Amino acid sequence: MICELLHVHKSFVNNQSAIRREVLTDISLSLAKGQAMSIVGPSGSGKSTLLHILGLLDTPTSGTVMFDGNDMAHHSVNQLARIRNQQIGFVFQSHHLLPQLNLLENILLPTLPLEDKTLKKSARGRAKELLDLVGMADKIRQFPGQLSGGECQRAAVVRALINQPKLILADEPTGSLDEASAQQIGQLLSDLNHQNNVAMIVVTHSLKLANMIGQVHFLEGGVLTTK
Amino acid sequence: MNRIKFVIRSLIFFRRQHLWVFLAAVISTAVLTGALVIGDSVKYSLTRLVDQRLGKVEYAMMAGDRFVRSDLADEIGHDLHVAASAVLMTEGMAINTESQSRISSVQMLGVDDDFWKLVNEIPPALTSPGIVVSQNVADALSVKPGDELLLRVRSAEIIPLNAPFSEEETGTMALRLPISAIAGDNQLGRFSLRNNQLAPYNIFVPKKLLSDKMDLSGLSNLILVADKEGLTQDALNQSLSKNRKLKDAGLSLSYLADSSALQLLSDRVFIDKSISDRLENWPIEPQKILTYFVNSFRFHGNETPYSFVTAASENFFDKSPGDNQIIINSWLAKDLGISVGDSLQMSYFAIGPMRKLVEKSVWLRVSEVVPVESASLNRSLMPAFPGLTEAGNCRDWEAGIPIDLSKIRDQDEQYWTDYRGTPKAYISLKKGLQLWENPFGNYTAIRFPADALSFSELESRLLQSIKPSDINLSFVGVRERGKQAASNGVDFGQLFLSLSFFVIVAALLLLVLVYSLNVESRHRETGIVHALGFNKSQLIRLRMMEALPALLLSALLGGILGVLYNKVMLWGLNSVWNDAVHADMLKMVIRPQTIIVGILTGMVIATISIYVVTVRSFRKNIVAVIRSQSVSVRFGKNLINKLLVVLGWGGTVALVFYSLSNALVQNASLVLAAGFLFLMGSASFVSILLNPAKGKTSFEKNLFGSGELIWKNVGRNKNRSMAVVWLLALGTFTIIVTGANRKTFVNTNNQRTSGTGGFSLWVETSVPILHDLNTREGRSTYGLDGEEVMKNTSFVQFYNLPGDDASCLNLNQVQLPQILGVNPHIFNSLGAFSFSNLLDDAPSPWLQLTKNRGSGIIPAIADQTVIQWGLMKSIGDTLNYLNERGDTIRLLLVGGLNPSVFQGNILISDSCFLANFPSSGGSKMMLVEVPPSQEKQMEQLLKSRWVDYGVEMMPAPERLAAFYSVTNTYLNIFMILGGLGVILGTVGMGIVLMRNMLDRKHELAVMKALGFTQKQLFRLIVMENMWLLALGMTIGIMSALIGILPSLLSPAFQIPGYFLMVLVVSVFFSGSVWILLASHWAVKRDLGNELRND
Repeated sequence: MICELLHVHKSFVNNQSAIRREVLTDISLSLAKGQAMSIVGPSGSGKSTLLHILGLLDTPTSGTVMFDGNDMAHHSVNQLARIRNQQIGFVFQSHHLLPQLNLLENILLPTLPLEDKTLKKSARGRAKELLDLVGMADKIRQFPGQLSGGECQRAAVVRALINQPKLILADEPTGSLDEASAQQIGQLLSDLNHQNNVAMIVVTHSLKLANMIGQVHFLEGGVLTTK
Repeated sequence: MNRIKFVIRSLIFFRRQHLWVFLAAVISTAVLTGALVIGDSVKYSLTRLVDQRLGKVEYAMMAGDRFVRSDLADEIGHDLHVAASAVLMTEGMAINTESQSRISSVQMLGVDDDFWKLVNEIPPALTSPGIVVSQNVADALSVKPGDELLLRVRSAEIIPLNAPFSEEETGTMALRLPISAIAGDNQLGRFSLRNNQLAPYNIFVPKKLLSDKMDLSGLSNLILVADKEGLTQDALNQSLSKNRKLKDAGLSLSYLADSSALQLLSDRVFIDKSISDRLENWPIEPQKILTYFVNSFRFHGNETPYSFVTAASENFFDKSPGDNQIIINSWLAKDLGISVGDSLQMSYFAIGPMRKLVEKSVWLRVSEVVPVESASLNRSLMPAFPGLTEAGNCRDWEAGIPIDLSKIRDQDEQYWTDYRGTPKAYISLKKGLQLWENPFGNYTAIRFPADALSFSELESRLLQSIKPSDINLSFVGVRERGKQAASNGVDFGQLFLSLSFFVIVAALLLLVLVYSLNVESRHRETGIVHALGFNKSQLIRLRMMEALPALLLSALLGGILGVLYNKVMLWGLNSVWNDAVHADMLKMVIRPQTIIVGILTGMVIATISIYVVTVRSFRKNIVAVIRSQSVSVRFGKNLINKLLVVLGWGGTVALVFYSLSNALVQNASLVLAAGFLFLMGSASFVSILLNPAKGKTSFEKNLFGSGELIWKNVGRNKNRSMAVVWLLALGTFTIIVTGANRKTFVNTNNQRTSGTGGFSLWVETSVPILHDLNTREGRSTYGLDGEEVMKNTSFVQFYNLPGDDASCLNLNQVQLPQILGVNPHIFNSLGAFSFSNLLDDAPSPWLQLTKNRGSGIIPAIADQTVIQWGLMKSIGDTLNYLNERGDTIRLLLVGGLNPSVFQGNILISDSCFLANFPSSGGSKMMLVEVPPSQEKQMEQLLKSRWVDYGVEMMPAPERLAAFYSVTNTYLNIFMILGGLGVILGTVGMGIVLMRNMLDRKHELAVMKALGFTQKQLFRLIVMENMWLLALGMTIGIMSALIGILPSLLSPAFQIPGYFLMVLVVSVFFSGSVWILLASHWAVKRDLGNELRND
């Protein structure tokens, strides 16, 4: 399994009122290599929280998070960062491309923390290939402000893939896009999953996108179900 | 919910933000209030000093070089029922013979018990008969009550030193007296009539003892009067007029039985012109007499030496001689073998400045031979020349002119024995005035027929005609003048506001910055509240209400802390910055109105700043605000920046090359401009570099790495980044340039055009030097002849009329500066000194002093800084003085010198000086030119030979450096406060950094999500901002180094390198600390929330 959650709970305490809010309740899921999953739920259902726990950005209140067969609870912050950098790719609703970097530089950004210089060097070639793949090889010198929303999001997807991660986590990847662009992104993600055999979890409120990706799970009231 | 509740809730919620605004406003208000309080404190201290100086004295009559009866003070006191004291004031030296320490210039005051009644506090306890010394005398000579001091007191000169036939030497007299008490500051120990914060060295001697020793028994030259309700200056002057006697004008009236005449004589030998003029239009025409001492009469090889000759008005003679005729007595006729109709040659000395004697002669035809003595022609015509009147025989004569004793024959001695000074010849008054008129007076006697008026009638009439003001005797309100001078002196409030400018501006910038960031962080809230229906005015009002508590509290606390700031500044002025004030008497005074002004001003400025920021922030589009759209990188046009780079760097090169080839130090301002241009060019270059590259991508260049990411991040918000660079560059540049401007004049070449005029020594004496030291006679008289070093030494001597010190060393407003009479031709021929401003553009500016500007107008020159800042005047303005005759003269400022050794003085030509102040005999100040290798030798010589003249000297460059010390101290203060301001600016930089991190929170979260560790993120952020810090400071330092090239290359400037280095390092350190703190804060935040879409 690439990633597993075992009886994960997540709650937040309001500092001012000291009221505890249960966001995720007894979540258990597992994802194998090359497997794709979508999680659908309304706003405030805890989708992003679940994704952050899967992406090792956040820790559960209780439960176990396993990545590539390892319990992440015993990993240091830096080790988690390394895993995030080399094993996981993120795609967010807002592309979060850095405005001061051009397209290519944005895509190469995740290579900076790499310690292995050969990996860094090979990333350059891979960036070109990936940009070719998404049809943006001619825009490498352009800045995010000069690209459309869809193009930015495609770039964000490419950025997520640059280090050849085992797992892609996409949080509402089409949430800010129009119908056509959303369709494009959805198709892209699906193609990447099938062609590159990279595991994928897509969180979305769009059933249409969810159906394009793979097995659909529902998150409601902090509980994950498959309907 | 209501508006108040909303405001209170917001205030509490955003309390941290308001705290920063509060702190920034506290700083600006504290510094502003503190600066104002300093102004009050200095004014108060100077005003308090007036009270210390004068005690209860309100008015003073300064007789100058005249003497009045001491009883006059009592008479006026009884007349007006006011406390009055007569004082005998002179100068001298004080020596502690045990330790051989000495003070060369001491104010000696002959006082009695009446003087001590003018003390504010309990007078010093006089334990035994002796002298009272001021505290500073006791400290300087390390003496205490019971110890003895040797005093050398300058002799009195009733007869003006420059007057014909006055005594050769003024000299000093010695007194060895025990100290009976020390007068503290509140016991008139600081007594002085000069408006200056420097305390004079005072020694109070029992008046009777001093006046007897000086042969001035019963006489004084200063009357002090205490305050009394209703007492006015006019009332005092009227009382003076009423109570004075002829003696107070130095006049005496006597009855001459032989000639049945009442004769008016002057103690000064020559009757003041202002007095004789008063008698011109009397109904009773007096006989006017001028008796002179001539060198010889010659006729056909016969010579009669050294005789008195009387010139008299027509009514003196039975038969008046014509203008070219002479009446001789029978003795002379026989001695010369001459008779009526023959012509004889009469030779005499015309006595000029510095006792320069020029022998002149005139041919006169004998019109009559008269008996040696008669009723009117007798020894009563001889003036009371001190060196002649008491002489037993001719060989004892001391006439103030060289007497060739070999010429005196037995018959001359016999004549003297038989007839004393009976004139041997008589000429017309017109001829006499033509030959012997002098500024001290035209007549040696005025006679009135005794049958026309009785003695008392004449005396009364004379007193009615002759006004005290004719001889410059009048009471002046010294306390009022002193208070005015203290109140209108250097405005330290304004000065410290200027010096604290950087700190105030930095604090305000910080306030604006912090508040701007606060506003930006609440953009979404603003947009939403606006979308809910609040209009802009309502929103502004809400924000201002929210800011009000912080503003109010900060103003109050700032006012309180301003007092502390003031305390620190005063401590500095009284100690380490003492060179700015040359006194340690500054005391703090808190005036509630000043504090209120400071508080209100601080609050108003802070409120306006916040209001402006608030209004400007509401100009943004609401939707954009709600969406909180992130900053997109703008591709600014580089054209303007490129132009600025070319202008900046090109201008720098051009100006530096020009200055290097044209006397660098003289072009200091151009080089400074070059430094600023370099700063501008470099900053613009950085701005170009920060633009995103449009060339080959990093992919193609194989370059994209952390370094490039850092640089790109720096350029992300170029405006903010450049603001930081500019702030640091300008701040660093200003501090260094300010510090490097400290001028010194030690170890520099003494150029003619410099402030020393190329002279080696500035010399002052307590006892005036009467002779020209460039003549053999002068050098011989003063023990300088025969010395090897004198071969290449020359002196330029000045006359001086004491007055206020108008130099930058005096904090008080200057009303009547000291006047120096100089020979402009000497300076003109040497090309000495240089001018910064002239009334008329003339090739020989010094000769402007000789130009006739009209009646009563005298051209004058002074240091330009004195004119502008000390006197608050300009070239072309005038200063009014009263000359010795009581006439008003106007000194017209025709030239402003570059900073010179004359600072504090007004220069007029020596001829104008002597015409108006003839009694100011001799010179007490001079410039000496001697080869540098012999300078020490010259100093030793003067010190040893002139010890009894109270000589003090210093190298001329040192004197100039002393004046620079004031400016340099102000520069030091500015530098320190400026440095504080820049350090405060680094706090602002830290806040900008925090704000940038807030803006980039999503970016940081993504990078964290992409696998950057905290350490890597921290390093990235630190490096970005350290670049800004280093860039800004490097540009500032390099620009400053260019700007201060003259200072670096010239020994005329003294750069406090170590201090500057500490300051610069402190700025860098402060900036680094803030960067580290802000970066630490940025990466420690929980960034996960920034990625949340819930």
